[in-house]
Amino acid sequence: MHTAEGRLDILSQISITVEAGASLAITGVSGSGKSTLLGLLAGLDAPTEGEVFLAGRPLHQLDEEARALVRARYVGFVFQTFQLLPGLSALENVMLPLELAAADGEGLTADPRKQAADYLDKVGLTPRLSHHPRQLSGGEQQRVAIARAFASRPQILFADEPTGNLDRASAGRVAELLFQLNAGEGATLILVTHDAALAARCDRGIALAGGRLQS
Amino acid sequence: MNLTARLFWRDLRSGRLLVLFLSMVVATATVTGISIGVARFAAALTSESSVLLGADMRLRSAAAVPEEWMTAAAGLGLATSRTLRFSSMLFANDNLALSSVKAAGDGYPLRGALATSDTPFTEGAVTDSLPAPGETWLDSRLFALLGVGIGDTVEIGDAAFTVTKVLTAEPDPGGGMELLSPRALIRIADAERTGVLKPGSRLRWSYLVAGDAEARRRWRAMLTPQLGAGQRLDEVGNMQSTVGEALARVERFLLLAGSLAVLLAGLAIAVAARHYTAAHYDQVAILKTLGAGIRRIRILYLAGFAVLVAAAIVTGWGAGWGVQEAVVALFADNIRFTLPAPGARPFIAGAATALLGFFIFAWPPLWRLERASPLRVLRRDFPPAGRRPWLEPLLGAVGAAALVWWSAGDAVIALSLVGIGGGVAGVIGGGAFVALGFRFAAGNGRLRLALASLRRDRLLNSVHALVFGAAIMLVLLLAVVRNGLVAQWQTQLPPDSHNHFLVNISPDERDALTARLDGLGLARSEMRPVARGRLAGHDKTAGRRTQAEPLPRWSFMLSWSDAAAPPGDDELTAGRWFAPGDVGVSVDEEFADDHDVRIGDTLHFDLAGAAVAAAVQSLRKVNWQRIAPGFTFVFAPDALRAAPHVFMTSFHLPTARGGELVPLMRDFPTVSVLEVERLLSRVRVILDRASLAVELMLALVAAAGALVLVAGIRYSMAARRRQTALLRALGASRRLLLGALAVEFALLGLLAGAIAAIGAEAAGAVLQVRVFDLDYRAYPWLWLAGPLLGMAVVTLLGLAASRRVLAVSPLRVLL
Repeated sequence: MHTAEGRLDILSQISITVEAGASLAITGVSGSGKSTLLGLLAGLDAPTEGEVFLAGRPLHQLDEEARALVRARYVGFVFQTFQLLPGLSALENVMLPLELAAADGEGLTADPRKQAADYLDKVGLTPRLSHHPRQLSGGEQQRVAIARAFASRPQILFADEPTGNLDRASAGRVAELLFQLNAGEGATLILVTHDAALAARCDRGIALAGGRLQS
Repeated sequence: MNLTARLFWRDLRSGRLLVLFLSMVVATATVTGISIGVARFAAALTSESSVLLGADMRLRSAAAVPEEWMTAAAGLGLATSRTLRFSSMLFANDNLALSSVKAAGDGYPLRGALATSDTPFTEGAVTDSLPAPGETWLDSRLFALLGVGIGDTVEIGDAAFTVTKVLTAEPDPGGGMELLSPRALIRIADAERTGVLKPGSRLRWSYLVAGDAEARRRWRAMLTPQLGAGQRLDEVGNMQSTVGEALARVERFLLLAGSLAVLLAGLAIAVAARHYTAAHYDQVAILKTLGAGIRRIRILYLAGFAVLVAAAIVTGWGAGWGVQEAVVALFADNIRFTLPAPGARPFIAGAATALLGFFIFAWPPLWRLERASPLRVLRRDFPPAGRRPWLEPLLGAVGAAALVWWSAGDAVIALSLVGIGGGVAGVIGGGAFVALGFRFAAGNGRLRLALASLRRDRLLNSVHALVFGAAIMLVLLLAVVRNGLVAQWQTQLPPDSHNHFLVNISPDERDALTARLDGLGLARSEMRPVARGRLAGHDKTAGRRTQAEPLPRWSFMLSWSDAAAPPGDDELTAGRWFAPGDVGVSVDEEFADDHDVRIGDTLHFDLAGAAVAAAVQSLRKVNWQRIAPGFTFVFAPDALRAAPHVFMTSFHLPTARGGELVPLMRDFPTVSVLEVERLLSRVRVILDRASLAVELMLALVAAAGALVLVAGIRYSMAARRRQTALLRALGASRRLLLGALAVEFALLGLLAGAIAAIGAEAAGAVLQVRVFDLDYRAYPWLWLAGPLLGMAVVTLLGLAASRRVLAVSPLRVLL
């Protein structure tokens, strides 16, 4: 990127390919560029130079509107800070991507409510359907986020420090769910984490340092 | 419920949209209400002036005009009538009294109404009839002077008339000396019988017409070239009265207040929209992450806002209608309001204002919202897209000018308000930024925390000081103008206003009458000599070829003064006042302006055949709204003393002492007394109501100002929420934090109020002098009221909002 002080390289000389159905862990210290790389791979941002292909789509050539469409069709997210909408219930939060897709004529299901309830059941939150995020624990909120990520049946799941905000017990349960559902759905998983144990469960891993690929 | 409805419902329940909604209601209500109200005021104003004429247009003439003139008026579709007025002695029971007789034709009056009663000196009831042939209706004073009652006979000239009613009110009461004589009303067909219609009689014909403006214009165009000496056309619109002036000022005030309310509402919309946007960046980022594109986000929010704007418009229409009804109801007893033709215009104007307000003030921040980067889900501090700090204030200023122009219909007011406002805003914002940069040695914990907080977010706090300052300034500004108006009305009609005129006082009665009035202990104006004369010529000083209005053809009451300074309230504006031996004339400056009369010119007068020439020696500002004798031309004593003249004076007689007039009138039978108490009471009531209307508008604008403050406080609390939670987590007590927040808000309010006082004083001076034609008055209380008001209101609102923030667990904010 270019700043008032001149050119600033956040990421450079990175070339990776992730096969469909595989899982990849991205690790590195704070400021190494993990989240930036995740944002580029998921089409949340466009690179100033270089190419990014997602499910065969050239994200680097698409505008924001088109990248949003790609995300709606192929991508699911799980974040460290859960990113649930506080005013919506657990069920409504999970329904959100299904409704957005339905509104764009991309709906995969005729009944988003039922599909959302099914996924909440898979993460063990059926008794909490009508609860709002503030009424749920951190672990429960992350399980809602996982249900939301899988409810739209994405081909690729991006997870940014999914256990970073959780205690050991909750983190274990969330990680278990994440890998279990991913295996069940056959999605590609790209995971950013500091947790070596979590990274070790992935098919392969890369480490970043100073915006460059280390291993 | 679909996603749009769910998100919108959630925003509604959180209260985030309330200020935005109320601001648009205020904008719609103000413009709708004022559009309807001003139309009704204009109609009332016209009707007030029409009542003074008894018609929409009046042709005055000393002789009967050709009958074709009135036939032509009727041919143009105008209603016509006529009156003939003359002075005559009335006889009854061996008593006699000088009266001004009005002989009225069919259809009189065309505007306004006559009022009669069966008992003298009582309130009358409106009637649409006229005295029957052979009958007369008399002023109450004539009953006393002639010692007659209903059913008695009085003689007017050669004819006898039966008294059938007491005449208590009439439109077109005449002017000058004639206004002062007690009235007798008869039929015009009876005038011939009185024997007064002889050559040489002093008759005053009034030909009245009413109807369509275009027909009146054509009649006037036809008549004007044919008018001869002593003939004059009066029309609604060039009539001035205290009531008319007051209503016109109320109208101007309503427009100004409306503009300020719309500006404040716009400011509140801008602040609330910014607050809303700031609170929704994360939501938009999440929605984008989940696949929503810009178009989808736009539809999602626009649909909700469309419902909000529509609801605000409908509510605003209702509120606007209610407000104008309340203002009109204040005057309903005293002024006849005509409802404007039912039309959609005020409602369209109200709705358009809300829409304009929304798109000008709310859309730019909302536009930024739809461009929020999805990367915020990874990094919360990721900046919102498309920031151009100069663009929104610029757009806001242009939009505000457009909005004020739209609501006030006056480009000059709009540009000057926004120009001055922009300048003042710059000063306020800059001043706040500089002031917040000062470092104070503060030992007290609360003060230290407060100052640190103010300094840490100096730019944001400057913006808040600017918003608070602007709101307080606009409310203070309106209070200043309101005070100027009300003070002017009070000065115009103080409780001891002169309520009686004595006219037609012969020179040999002057001393005796003066002694008699002084003996009664009455506050009176000085005895002013009066001679009647026509302006016959105007010699301009050499080198001037400017073409001014033709000379007026009517006769003037001329006076002279041997005092060392201009008499009464008159104020010398040019030239010098008379010295012994001068033979010049002093002229009313307004008349001089209208007729291109300048110092050094010579004016020629015709006083019943005698020619008098006088050089213009000075110009005076005459207060025509004061109830006391006033004159367009005041001569040096030597110029006029030899002319035939009488004297006049005015005095205040408390209502309870009204009986003392009867012996005075008997002892000076040729002196005429005009009682204006009833007129004064009516004017006083109208001015009181005008003050109330103005205060009602002030309250509305204050409410709009409060909306801005609430919006600003809510916005500023969002920024303080996290910091407060952090301090609580670190062990700060609730009391310490509340104290620190109180100090912080008090300092912010004090700063905003102080700078608002400067702005209000400056803008108030411009508005008083330029827009309302008032004399400049300084308001020292502003310098105390501004800072105190700012401090009190901002602290109270801030603390009310802080309590809610402090009640939330720090865990919920920090985790």
